[in-house]
Amino acid sequence: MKLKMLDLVLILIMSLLILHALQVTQPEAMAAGAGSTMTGGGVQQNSAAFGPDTGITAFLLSPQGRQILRASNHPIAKALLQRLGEESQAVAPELRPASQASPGIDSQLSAAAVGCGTVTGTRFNREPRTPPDALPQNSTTVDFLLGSGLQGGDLVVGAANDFRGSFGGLGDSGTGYYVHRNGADTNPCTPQFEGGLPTITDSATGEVLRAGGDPVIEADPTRNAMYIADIRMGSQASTIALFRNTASNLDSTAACPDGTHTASQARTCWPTSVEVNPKQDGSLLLVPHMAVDPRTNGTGAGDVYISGLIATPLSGNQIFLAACKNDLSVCSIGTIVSGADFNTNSSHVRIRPDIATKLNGSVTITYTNASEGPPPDFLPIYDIMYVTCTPAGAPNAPTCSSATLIKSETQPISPRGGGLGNGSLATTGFTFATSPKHDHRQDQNGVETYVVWDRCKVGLIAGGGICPDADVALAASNNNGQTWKFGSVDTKAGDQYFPWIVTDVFTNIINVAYYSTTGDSMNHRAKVVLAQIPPGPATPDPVSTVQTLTTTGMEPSGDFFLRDTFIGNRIGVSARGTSIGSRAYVHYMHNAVNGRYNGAAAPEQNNHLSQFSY
Amino acid sequence: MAASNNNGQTWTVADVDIGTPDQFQPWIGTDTATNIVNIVYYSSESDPLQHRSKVLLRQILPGNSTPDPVGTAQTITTVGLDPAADPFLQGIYIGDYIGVSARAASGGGSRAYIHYTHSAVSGNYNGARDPEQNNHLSRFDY
Repeated sequence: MKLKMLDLVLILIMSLLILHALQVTQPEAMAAGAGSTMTGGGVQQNSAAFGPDTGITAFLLSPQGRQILRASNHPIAKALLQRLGEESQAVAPELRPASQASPGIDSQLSAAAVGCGTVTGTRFNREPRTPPDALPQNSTTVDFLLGSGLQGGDLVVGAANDFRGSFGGLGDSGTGYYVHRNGADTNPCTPQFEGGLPTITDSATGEVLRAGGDPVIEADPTRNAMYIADIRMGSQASTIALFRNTASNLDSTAACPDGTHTASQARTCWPTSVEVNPKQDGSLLLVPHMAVDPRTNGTGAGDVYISGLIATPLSGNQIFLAACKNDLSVCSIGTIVSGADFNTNSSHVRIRPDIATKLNGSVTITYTNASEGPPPDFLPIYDIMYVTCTPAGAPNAPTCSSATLIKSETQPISPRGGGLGNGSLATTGFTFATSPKHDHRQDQNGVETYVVWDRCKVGLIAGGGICPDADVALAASNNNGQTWKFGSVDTKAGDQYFPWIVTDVFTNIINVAYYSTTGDSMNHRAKVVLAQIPPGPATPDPVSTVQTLTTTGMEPSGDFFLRDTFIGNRIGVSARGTSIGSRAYVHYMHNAVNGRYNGAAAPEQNNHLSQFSY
Repeated sequence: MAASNNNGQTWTVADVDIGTPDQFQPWIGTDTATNIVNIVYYSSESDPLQHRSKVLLRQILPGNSTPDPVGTAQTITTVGLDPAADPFLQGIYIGDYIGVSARAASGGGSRAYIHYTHSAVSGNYNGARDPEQNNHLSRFDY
């Protein structure tokens, strides 16, 4: 009887909470800190926004993420808790016993079919299947150098948030790298080696900064080079770390041996790095993106561009752009490109293909600026912005135009979340935010620019926190953002989210990879799909048939550690070709491969890789 | 499960279902006309991602041992419940039990009614369809 009374009380409490969620007029917890004040019926943006609304840091700052911070002895966890006004409990992590048995890679990986497998791709890490190492990987990114691996294979480099680094594994690095280089392997998605990106030292303070995740990758085929950038934060400094590697080094079994690298091996494998836009003023540098100028001559030729978020207490969130020399010998300061926007996020930087002939405006950035609509619900509004910049040659910072509006998205995916699970979608418990990405391609209309983003098909429910049906929206321009035309990549029933876009510069085919729950009666399990937009006479040109890369859907709740609170905030795609054909590699989180917990098998998040040839 | 034939002075312990991976929220009811014990529960055994649970029913017929052997599982729902599939509860709560009642039918034979949460029927939210938790009822005749 007592138990039934408790149930009744719980239901009553939950009912009140639901009513509160439905009736709430002033959202109390916007992960972005997108606070605003009403003045005379209008919305005045509060300049005190602090912190991102997407990415690993946004998750770690959430109530669920703080539990991980408190359980971790990682320096970044301590630094984040310090910024939240909490002292680290300095509790030894329970996940990793003194004895670190490291069983080999499981047979499922080596048994994957040629083409990387059509069911769930191939697990692209070498993580043991048992605790303390069976931990999540998500927020994946990928690029590759065609035929630059061993025996003529592609050199494929992926990176992801890797939670092994939060609990004593992977050299305490929160950024994992995973490399396929063996062309003799029957599976072109098998990782020969992996590791955690090494530490860097902040030049101003001497503080050692460990890898904090949210990585991005960009290849430079002109120079056979590969770059990875990720976030770094300590108690005194915050920066973006940028690493450079070469195909010859990545192919060297001496520099980068097969297996899971120790911290020392990782440093040998990734020997070249630089701090980008380091700050020692309490601000955080987060959610980077990157592009490489492929030119070999001219102002700024070969420069590497890093965009990202500067989250500054009292000043809000701004987008910066910095340029580094190709060899990372020097970088510019970060120039603010978001003007008077102070609640920004999700920057994405690309290079126009006509940069050799039109230097002005050849480096382009998209980002979001969040605000709130009118009462009673103060629904979120995401302005999707576009900036063009002109290279000045690192270490000189590029000069940039004022940001212009692509679209004021009144039906964004909201990081507020809703319901009692606090999810952004109706049937998930994880939150994320509309994040635009873009790329350019050359066709008969000249240079076209395509932007894709997550959009809710219908109005948000639960006070503006839940999207009942997410789509992938699209905008296109053939005049470098002066005008835009709007369309969509996928509006089918169910949720489409996490779109990433890249142009195969050989064919000028645009590739857009994303998750889709279409076909799942419970609207919960997402397959990885790839849409292509071939060159054509229109702007935008139509989307061709959508390819299903994984016939089994990813289960967002299928991880013992994260449950369904966080699945990362993106998937990665890269596409390159030659006269004999093109390949796209898609890097994503899936949980088809089980971990083993006290002898029982259970799904867990892993980074997976698929290959699509066309 | 545990069974006793002396009002709890001693118990014999056995299992109803120890398949992989998750069986949970069992409820038990005896059909007093036949003395068949009916046990219903959720099982995610057939889901490789261990998340979606079908409703199963097993019966224990009267016999000469204590406990008597458990019969083969009857699948009451061929589609599994997705515990995350509700816009408001979003995976944090699906209730904590399901119900079963079994009695003799007037025309002969017996029937069991099973009452449980399922998310197969969608709601309509601003024009978009999403699954939501509903109470569902199944009948099993025997």
